[in-house]
Amino acid sequence: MKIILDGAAVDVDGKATILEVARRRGVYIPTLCDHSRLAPHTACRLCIVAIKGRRGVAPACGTWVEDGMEITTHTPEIDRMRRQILELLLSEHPSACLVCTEKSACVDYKCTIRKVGEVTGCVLCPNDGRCELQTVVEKLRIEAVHFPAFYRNEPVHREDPFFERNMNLCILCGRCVRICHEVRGASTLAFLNRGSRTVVGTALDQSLLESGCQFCGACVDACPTGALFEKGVKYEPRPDCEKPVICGFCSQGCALVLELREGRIQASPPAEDGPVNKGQACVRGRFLVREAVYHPKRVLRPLIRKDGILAESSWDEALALVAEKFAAAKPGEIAALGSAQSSSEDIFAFRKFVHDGLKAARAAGPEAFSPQARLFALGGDQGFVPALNYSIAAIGKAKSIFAFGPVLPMVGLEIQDAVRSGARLVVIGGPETPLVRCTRAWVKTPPGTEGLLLAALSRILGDEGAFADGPAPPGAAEFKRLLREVRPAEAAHAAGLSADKLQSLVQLLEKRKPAAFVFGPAFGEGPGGPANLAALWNLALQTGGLLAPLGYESNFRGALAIANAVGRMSVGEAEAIYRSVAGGGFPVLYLAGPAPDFASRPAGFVVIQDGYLSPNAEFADVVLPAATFPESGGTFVNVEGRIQALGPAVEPRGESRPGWRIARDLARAMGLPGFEFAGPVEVLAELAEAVPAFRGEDRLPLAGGGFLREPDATAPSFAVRPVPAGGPAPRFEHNYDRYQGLSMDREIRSLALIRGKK
Amino acid sequence: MRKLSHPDHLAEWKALILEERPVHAKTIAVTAGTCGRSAGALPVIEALKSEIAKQGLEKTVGLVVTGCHGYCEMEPSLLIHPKGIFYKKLEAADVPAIIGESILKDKVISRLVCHDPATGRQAVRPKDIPFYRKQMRLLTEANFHIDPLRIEDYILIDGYQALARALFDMTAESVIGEVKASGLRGRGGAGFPTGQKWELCRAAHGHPKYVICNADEGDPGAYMDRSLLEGNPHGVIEGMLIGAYGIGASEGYIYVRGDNPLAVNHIGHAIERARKCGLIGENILGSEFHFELHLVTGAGVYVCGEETSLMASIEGRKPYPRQRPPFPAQEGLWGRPTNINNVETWANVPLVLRKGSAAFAAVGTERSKGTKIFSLIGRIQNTGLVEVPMGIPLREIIYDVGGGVKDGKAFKAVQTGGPAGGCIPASLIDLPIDYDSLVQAGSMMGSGGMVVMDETTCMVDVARYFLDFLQDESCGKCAPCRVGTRRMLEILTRITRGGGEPDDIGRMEELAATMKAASLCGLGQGAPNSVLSTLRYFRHEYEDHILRKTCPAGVCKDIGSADPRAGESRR
Repeated sequence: MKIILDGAAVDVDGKATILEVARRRGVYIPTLCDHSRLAPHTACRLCIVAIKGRRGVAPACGTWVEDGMEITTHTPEIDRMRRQILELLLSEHPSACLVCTEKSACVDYKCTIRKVGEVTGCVLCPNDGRCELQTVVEKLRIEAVHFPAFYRNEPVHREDPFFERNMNLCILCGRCVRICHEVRGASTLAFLNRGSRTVVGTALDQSLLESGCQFCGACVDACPTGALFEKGVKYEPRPDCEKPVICGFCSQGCALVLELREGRIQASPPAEDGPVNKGQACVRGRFLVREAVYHPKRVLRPLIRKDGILAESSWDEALALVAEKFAAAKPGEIAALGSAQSSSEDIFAFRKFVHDGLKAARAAGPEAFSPQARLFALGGDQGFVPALNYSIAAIGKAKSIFAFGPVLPMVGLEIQDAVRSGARLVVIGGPETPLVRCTRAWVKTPPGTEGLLLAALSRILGDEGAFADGPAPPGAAEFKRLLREVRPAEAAHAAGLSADKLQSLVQLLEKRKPAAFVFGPAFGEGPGGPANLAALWNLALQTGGLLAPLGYESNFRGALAIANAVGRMSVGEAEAIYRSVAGGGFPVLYLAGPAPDFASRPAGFVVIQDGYLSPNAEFADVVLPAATFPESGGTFVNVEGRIQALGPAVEPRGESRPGWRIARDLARAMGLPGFEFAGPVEVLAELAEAVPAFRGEDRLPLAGGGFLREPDATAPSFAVRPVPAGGPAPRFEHNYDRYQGLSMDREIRSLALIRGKK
Repeated sequence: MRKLSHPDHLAEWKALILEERPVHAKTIAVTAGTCGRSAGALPVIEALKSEIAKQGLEKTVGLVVTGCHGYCEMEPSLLIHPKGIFYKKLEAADVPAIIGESILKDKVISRLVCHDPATGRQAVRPKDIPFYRKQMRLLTEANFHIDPLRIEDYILIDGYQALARALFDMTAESVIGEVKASGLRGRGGAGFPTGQKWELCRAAHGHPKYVICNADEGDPGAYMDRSLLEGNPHGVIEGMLIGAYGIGASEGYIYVRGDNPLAVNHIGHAIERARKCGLIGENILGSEFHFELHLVTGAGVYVCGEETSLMASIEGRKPYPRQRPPFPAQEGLWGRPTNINNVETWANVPLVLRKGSAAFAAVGTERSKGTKIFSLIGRIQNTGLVEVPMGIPLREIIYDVGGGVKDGKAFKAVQTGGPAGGCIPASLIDLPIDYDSLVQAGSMMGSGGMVVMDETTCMVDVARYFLDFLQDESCGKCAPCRVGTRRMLEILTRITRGGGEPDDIGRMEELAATMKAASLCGLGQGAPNSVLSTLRYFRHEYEDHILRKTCPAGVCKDIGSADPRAGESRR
């Protein structure tokens, strides 16, 4: 369509607002309530423009262009009105500095700062210098406010963790309220009162903690003023540098922007262009990166136990001691546990060191317990190779979604979006999570009965002839035969739901396709786990649904790819090693990742490689300080199989070293050849040799990176296993809030408050 | 009561009602709207009941508890049909006399009847009473006769016949054509042509379509809609049914203020009755037309009268207005095409179909057709609801219907159109009252409030009063309205306290221009009107306050006070 913008003919493709068209053309229209992720609010009225043939003015943000529209963005009267509206806003916003005669000198000398408890002007505002209101004031050249100042005198809410709310600075653009509702689905923040008494707050004016806030920080990032402000950086000087990182706290791979000042992390807002998180984050990525890196439990120098006490030592001394012990051990006497939270470079170097340096020792890692590994194991038993890559966005395109237990935050947002556009969500089992709020049905199955329920669904669907379109996958006939043993009524009873409810789930699967099945690590665990997993696999295959397993550790997919290439370990073998470690069954333990808590002091020599002094350090003979993810950077593979690589953002603290370097230095101390890495680039090159999945050209093309090329998946077939028996299943603890040796939900007070652990 | 499944059933039912109902020689209709009840109608009704029983007159004398008769000044009042004797300002003690004299002996009690102030003679029947004489009660006539809780009473005045005609003798398009030809314009304020609005909604894509009746009447002192819902709820329902048929809507909502409990009660009762009779639901009167009607009560928030806020409120959200376009006809309630009209507009629809568009259009001016109900209040002799033909000169409303200004004071101005309307000065006393001339005079029709002011009214204080109302009722969404009304009120308050500055008038005019153009909805856009119209006609009063620190009307007592800024920055 053709429009005329300020006299110039413009071609516009598709639906666009006047504001969008103007921005594309580089025409400045002031805005305050507009936000890229939010529906137009048309409340600040700064973006008013004139449209030929229409009475009055129209807001550019909320007016869609139509063919032949003639738009004028600037006239003397429009500019006058914009300035006056801004003055109206400023009359209720502490703006003493704007009109202060000492303004110019104050920037350098802060000559007018007095001791006041309140923010009365920009110089005293924590948002000074990054405030959007300031920018608009400058653009519109406001030099005086022709209205008497009005101070709301609202108490500042400081009672919550991470950020405070100062409604005296609020301009009521509503971005926080809207992002909390439209994007996060939390609706914790709302407009209270009416008219000039309007403020942003919570229901019944509770604290955010009481009102169920998840502290994702979206509101803080959306706020154009200092009204919502992160406590940790309040009054800190502005960052001098910004570096992108991939969040290492979980497997989603959210892109964060580290704001640095003199090499120190100040804050970690989400990156607007993050392919997974699209400008969003969760409490850990948004607020805990700095907390984790500068946590008092960080190990900053190598520690060696001397006279029963762990004492600081030098790398040389520690490396020599460890090398000596490793060299002296006989084959099979060393157990090595790896991490799935470090970069692929670190994991590969560790593996290589264990393989080359510790001879017969085998490394086990937490990735062996991920749902992906269990699916792989299921395929191995049944003679197929499952495809593990999927996209989180595909979950959002499903019409019915079945979630087993808690999901990852960005997956949760995707599910909420899907529900908002008409998908139905069923939550099966698990604790009450924010997701339960948008579900139609929360089926509270007793643990271990999920498989029974799923088999019953398969049975009823099978009886009704419902199988996915196309030729039946292999094993269909045998699968159908097995299903005959299923008694749907009994299964429903065992799973704690009525026959009607069961039937409504069947209807959902029949009528609302495609379905997506989202499940976490706990789902396939315990004695009944494999059967549960098989039942889910079969139901997904039968309905043509998407299977979306969620592992938690940030690089478990990378670790799994490396393990698959250099010697996969079955779940059973890994379990045996972990059990044996817990029982103190090895003379030498090299713990580079999470290990079971020891019941008693292990007899052997214990080397711990960790960023934190974990509870197990009590039993350590040597602790090697490892770097955290912002310090080491590297290549991470997220839960979808997306490969994302970023360099380190800050120097490692103290004498801590990235994992690849520790492996190299240990190898050197032992005199092993083949560890001549100068940096992570060389490690990655060698990793790509050993694991083709990591070769650049082998990656599946994708904007901003690539997807891991997996071993070729075979055509899926039904997993023919005995029907799940049901009954309680013991489960491992998967602590999603644990980063390296730090249980953040216990060791970081604010997170403990949010998780209800304090 | 029976289920109606054929258009002829209406006439059959009417015949049946006439057959079954006792024939009363006389019927007493007592006004018992909210106004009548607060004036003491209920004890009068009780007394009438017991007196009729005492005298054993149940068979010959009927008693109807009706809605408001409009003459609020004289309430509680009653009418004795068929003669049409109007008795005013009644007390329970008057009842034995009424029964004894007027019912049994056919005598008129002279102390209870009105008098024509011009001639001093008795004015017994409404058509003799000056207040009613110049009125044209097309919509409100039914309030003299029917019990709003009895659907039978509405059937007796040929209720729902217009609907039957629409459903069986007309296509949806011809219904819209008829409404267009009638020239009916929206009675809610803006005066948009009703038929055209329906046509837009009919043409819009989307399913289902909704019709809404806006009964969120919130202007101070305006009770037209309340009176219609209380007095003749079926008239509104019939209008909505006809509109829904024309538009192709299958569902409707009546959004009424919860603080009008009697209206809520009567309309809710009427919906239930209509549903039981098959006038709401599936296959109405045996046609292919289905319609469901819901009642939603609002919490008394002024901005809910704004159509997009009202829809947000029905949807259960905070009633914030939103930017138009898209207009409700394109994307309304739950994103579906929606037609929203005011109570009085809906009530006019059966009239159009019953009498035909030509007969309807015969009343009024060229561009404003039919009658309009006004709520005549303030410093006026005859406070009440008046229904007059469009185009009637203001003078006739004030002096003939209204009986002139109270206490012999001089007429100064009349405020029309509610808080967002404006003041019309005495110099425009011959202004014809229709949509366009009111806008030309700097005011607007609004929903029909008319606040009469005399020489003891200070126009600056009037402007301040309405600004205070609006800043309190502003929803707070958009900046020009939320902060603008607040700052404007501060300036006005300062002026009335003697702190006015010479620049204030210019400052207010500039702020008013911004608010009028840039506010999101009608509330903010109309908010400065009271200031602008008083500035237009009474600028000298502002100048007296600002420059000479005097209030000519003597209303602003604080004008010499020591702290002129005391009103600022206070919530």
